[in-house]
Amino acid sequence: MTVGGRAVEAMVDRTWVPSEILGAEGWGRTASLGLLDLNVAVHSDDAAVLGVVEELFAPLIVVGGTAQAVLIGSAGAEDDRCYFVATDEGIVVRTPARTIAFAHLMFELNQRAITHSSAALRMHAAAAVVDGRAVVLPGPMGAGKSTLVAGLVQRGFAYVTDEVVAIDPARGVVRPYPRPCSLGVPPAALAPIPWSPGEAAAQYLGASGFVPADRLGVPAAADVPIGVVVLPTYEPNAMTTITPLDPMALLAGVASHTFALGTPGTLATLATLLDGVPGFHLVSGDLDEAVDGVLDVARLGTRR
Amino acid sequence: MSGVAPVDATTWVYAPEPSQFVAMADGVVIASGTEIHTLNLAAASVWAACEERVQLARVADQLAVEFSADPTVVRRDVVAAARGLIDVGLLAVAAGEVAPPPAFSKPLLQPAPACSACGPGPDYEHAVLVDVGAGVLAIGADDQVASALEHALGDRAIGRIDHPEDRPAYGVVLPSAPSRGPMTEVSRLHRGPDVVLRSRSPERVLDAVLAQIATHLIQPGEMVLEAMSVGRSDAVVVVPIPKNRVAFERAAARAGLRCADIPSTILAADEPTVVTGAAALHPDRRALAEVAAARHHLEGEPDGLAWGRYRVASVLVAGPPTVASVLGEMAPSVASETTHGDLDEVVARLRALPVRSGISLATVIRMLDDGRRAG
Repeated sequence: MTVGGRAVEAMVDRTWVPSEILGAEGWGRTASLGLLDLNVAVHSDDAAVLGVVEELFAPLIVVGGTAQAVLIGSAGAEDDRCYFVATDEGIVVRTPARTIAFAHLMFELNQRAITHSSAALRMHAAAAVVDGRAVVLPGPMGAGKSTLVAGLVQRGFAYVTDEVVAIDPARGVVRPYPRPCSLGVPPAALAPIPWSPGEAAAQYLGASGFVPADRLGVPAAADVPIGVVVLPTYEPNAMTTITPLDPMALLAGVASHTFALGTPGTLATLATLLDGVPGFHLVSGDLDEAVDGVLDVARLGTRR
Repeated sequence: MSGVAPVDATTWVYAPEPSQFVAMADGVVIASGTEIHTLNLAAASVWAACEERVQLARVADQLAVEFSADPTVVRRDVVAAARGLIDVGLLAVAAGEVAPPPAFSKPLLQPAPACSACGPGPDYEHAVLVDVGAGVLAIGADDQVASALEHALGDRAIGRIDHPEDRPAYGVVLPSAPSRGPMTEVSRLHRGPDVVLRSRSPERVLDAVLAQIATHLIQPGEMVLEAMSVGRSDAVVVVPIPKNRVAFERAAARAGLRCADIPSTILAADEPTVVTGAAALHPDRRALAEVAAARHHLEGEPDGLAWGRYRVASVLVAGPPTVASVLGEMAPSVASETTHGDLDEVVARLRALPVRSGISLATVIRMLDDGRRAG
């Protein structure tokens, strides 16, 4: 298989020159996606993947402007096909599994959003908005951030993000980043989500459980101040408890999920942003109870 | 065996510079690499005190003073906190167990020994280095006393030598508990190998060492006499140091008189005036008071004369009432230009003093009373 007159197999094995693929026959691109401070377009030789990417990132589609290219494509004979993801820095992954390539594409897009938005203070967190204030949910992978924020959105909160909360340090506001929500296998407590990707797209999505933000509920559209911070911990079968955090524990808890903490001044900026913000630790094994708990404390944030 | 040395009060530590930290009302949040640590106020105090290479005992002594807490308890808590901080990488054990002697450009002052029968003198845990302008005095002391002295002297304390091999200029020995056996060990001030003051009260020995340091900081027009000032709040009589100081002081106390803490008196020459104590050092004596209170006391030591400046009612000598007698009986054994000055000047100053012959408590009282009537 050749693209742009060169064998893709040769390209993916050697120095990568993506410009030779961009615009090549059989390749297309998505609309530009506004990932915080970065505009990206996904290029592929498969219209199905372009379609599912545009569906997933629909709230983030922007018009005009230049966009960095991230490529997802395939190479090789039908019985020996490999899928690859590449950027202008080279091959990200080469794999026989479409789902793995797609997972890497989603990871790469998110990483680029993080690294290209350094003006903002960024943390590994989900967030949703109620009454004009953000409920920020920092936590490690597996803490239940995405599921909890999905539960909040289904109760009327606006969806900010499930993975990266970006805060403008100058204005102290959370910026919307309604990327696809990664729910895996959605828990039964969530109402059915009205979205079913086509058969071809499903071959890429696999069991990733990505859901477009605008199918989950209402994506947040404007910057909002922080109302309350809740550090969630998912523990199967655990009784739901929500415990206030003192300012020091809150700062430490949030800092441990903050990106680029080595940048001078980040911790002090975070301390300023969290000054006076109520903080809580939520432990729960039940989504409805967890959402109820967050709803209770979110009212504290809206009174500030 | 992990090969890691045990951490105790003698361990030297330092705090590697953290990436970032934020001080809060209840403690400190520290970002160290990708790790986040929270320290409560107590642990934060230990961490903050270790910004530079320091021995944990010194940290404990400082914090004990700062928080007016039991030094023994504080030392135990500091060591425990330090172990925790070392475990998480916020403190590191400094290489080498013994601190190198601090570098200083001034000469070490070594008062000449007055007595060859005293042996080499005690061994000290530390020598506190004190800047006295013309040079540096080394003051031997145990760990707690050394820390308290450093606190008292502030910027004048410019360093510390651990386990000094050379004999310090002065040394303080304060027993912690009653000694075993028939001999009762009391608190002592050494000058070189010599004992210049024995006291049942650790406080008086610590005041005396400060006063000895002050004798190295005399101002133009002042001179030092190795003598005792005895008197009241309005005036004193200067006498050679009695052979049995305690008995003399007790007798004086019964007569309503008090004696200066020190064996040295700084004499201002412009008028017959003595300066006792070490007020010129402006020492912060709180840490010393706490250390002294924790040491062994014996009953029966009268209070000393308060530090200050006193009119001299008379100078009593055993010999004829001459300048030669004053020099012979009271000239300090510390051979130093700093304290002697030019001999002609010294003689001129001594001639102005009301010198009398005959040393007795009755004479002291009479001179004071005469001076009061004359005043």
